[in-house]
Amino acid sequence: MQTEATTADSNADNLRRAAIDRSVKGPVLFLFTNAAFWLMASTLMGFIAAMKLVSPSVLDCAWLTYGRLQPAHLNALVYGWGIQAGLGVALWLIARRTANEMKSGQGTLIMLGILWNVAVTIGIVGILAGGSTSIEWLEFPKGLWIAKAVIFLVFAFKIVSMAAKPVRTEGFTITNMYVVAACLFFPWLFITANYLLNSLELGALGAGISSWYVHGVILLFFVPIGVGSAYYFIPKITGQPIHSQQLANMGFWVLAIFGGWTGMQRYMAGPLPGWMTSVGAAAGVVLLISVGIVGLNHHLTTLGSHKLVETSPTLRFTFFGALFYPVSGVLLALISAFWTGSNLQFTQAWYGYQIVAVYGFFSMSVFGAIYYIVPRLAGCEWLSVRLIRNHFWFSVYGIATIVVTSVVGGLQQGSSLNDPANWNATFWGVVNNGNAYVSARAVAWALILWSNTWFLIHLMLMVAGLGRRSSAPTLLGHDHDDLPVSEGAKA
Amino acid sequence: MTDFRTFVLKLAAAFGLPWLFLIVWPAISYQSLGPVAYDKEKGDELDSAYAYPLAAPANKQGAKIYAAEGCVQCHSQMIRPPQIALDGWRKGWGQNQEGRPAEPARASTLRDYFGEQHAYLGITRSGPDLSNVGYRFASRTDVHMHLYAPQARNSWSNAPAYKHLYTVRKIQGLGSAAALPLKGTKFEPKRGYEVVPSVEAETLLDYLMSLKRDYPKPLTQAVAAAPAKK
Repeated sequence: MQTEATTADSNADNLRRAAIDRSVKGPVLFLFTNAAFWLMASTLMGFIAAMKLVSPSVLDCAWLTYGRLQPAHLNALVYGWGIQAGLGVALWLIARRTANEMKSGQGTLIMLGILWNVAVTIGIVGILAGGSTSIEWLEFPKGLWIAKAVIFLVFAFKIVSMAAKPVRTEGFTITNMYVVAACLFFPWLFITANYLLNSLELGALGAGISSWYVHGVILLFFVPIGVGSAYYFIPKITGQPIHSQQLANMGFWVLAIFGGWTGMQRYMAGPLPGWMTSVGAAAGVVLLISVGIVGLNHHLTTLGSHKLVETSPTLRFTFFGALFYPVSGVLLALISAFWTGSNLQFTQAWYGYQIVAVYGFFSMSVFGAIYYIVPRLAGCEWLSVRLIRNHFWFSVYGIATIVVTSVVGGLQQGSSLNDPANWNATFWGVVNNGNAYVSARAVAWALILWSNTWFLIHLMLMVAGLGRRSSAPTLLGHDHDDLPVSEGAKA
Repeated sequence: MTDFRTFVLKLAAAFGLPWLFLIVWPAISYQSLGPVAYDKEKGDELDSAYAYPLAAPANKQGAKIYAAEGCVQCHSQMIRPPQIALDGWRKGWGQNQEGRPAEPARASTLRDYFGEQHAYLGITRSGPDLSNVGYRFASRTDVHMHLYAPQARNSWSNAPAYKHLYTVRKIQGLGSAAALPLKGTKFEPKRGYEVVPSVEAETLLDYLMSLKRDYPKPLTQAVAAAPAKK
């Protein structure tokens, strides 16, 4: 990273990079476009699901009852958008970091990408049609998981084998470490959880394992890809080397060592043996160390370059994604620690955590990466500053709204559930108090849906090669030739 | 190259530890977990002719419908101990449906979910806990009414109406005995029609009515569990 940031770009370097980009162009753009489609679909389902939670008779049909729509919404977000976009970013990052041109297999990867999308489509339709297993984040009808595991393993193998044989060996490899970890941990988690939950009778232990799986996917796939990408793009754009390699290493290993222990605390004070939930709670709090270290390191790297956050779309999204990371860490600690967790257990706060981790942190980082990667692969620049700004502000405000309302709503829900005065109360209070927060969630999803639709259109135009033909990148707050006058004047 | 191999091995060790000790080993030992005999001499309410868990496992076919409809999104099946939460003291969450429970409903234990492929402990609590829902309704018709017409009982309810689990059909003769009493509610079918539960609705009900996880817990559970494990 240091070498890339500090040495002047020679023509040979540029040609080498262009060749690497060209070699991964097909699969990466395919994954991004399809992921963006699923993101839009997930946002739409999130919007309808929130509406249905307030007034269940809206859009009255079996396929759209809350119990089916909500898991479909989250599964589309995780497997349609998250894993797919994450793989795209991982593939590009590793190709660039190791200076590896992908020699062959582009066609195979695209074919597998198509199959992945077919599997996700069957899964989502299956859930809506009444085939949900109600195992959190594994609601897809049984049997699909084997196909998904195989597809992911091929992608992971491709990425890891590139990382194992770097052409360029100099430079600090923290990004590679995160990406390789994500590629190793996800299939491990996914196959373990699916195999155990589908083939063994596990009762309450199964609930614990499924919760471990959800936490694992967040902490050991989404977080590594998001942090790895931030460790690449922040130094790249600010031109500063990563502030401390020691801190970076420490943050990584704390996450890798403790990430796998969390999850069971979801069912604290429940039927699981006490040591399982205690270990999970402790790990959930200890992970604050990793979050703090990574946050500090990013902060120190960005220090003095904050002006660039205004102009560079990539840095702006990455920076705000990196800001959401500590938020997600604190929220995890709050729902994990027994002290606060018993009040937040079984409340909306859990939804808030999933969204801040998968959307607030991971997706914002990935958006940043996409704004950097796509112009280099498509050979044209983003068309409209206004669309990027619109995407940024709607996402930030939308996600912040969802997270704040979920957490505050969750606190209120929890204290209402646990208030001894409510021993004979109906759920009127919980439902009535929740309505305001869930309505806000619906509005937020509607706004995000608007910006995501434009993001998808913008991305598709780029992939079709219809972007701006220019040698100057599209920067926020800088005017360029084809901007309307008013927009340019404002900037 | 060797660097990379060491790195991957370190990663595998970091994750392998929780994988083995938190997930795989407990999952395997759960398979050999057996029932525990009661012991009257040690203070249990029942003698050793009975074993814990006392009840038959929850209805499996109905559990599939419970899963397919995603009931778990809003209903939990887990009673927390009274030191932590109000759960046990809530009216109707245990066996007692009238007035204030004399003592809190028992907190859930691992063996309460014996025989279930997967326990639906819950995601959020937008509705009441269902651990002991088998005691809650006076008749099956009441449950059907809640599933078909949730707002007929409580106008504020945000539970979805599971209309697709019911059939609306023309009344033949005197009408079906199973028809839901929807007269006067906003869910009332057209004149000359009646609403009857489908097989799925009845199966789901079998499951719900089988949820009674409040049988006494043996005092010596921890000790007696050891030999059952072999």
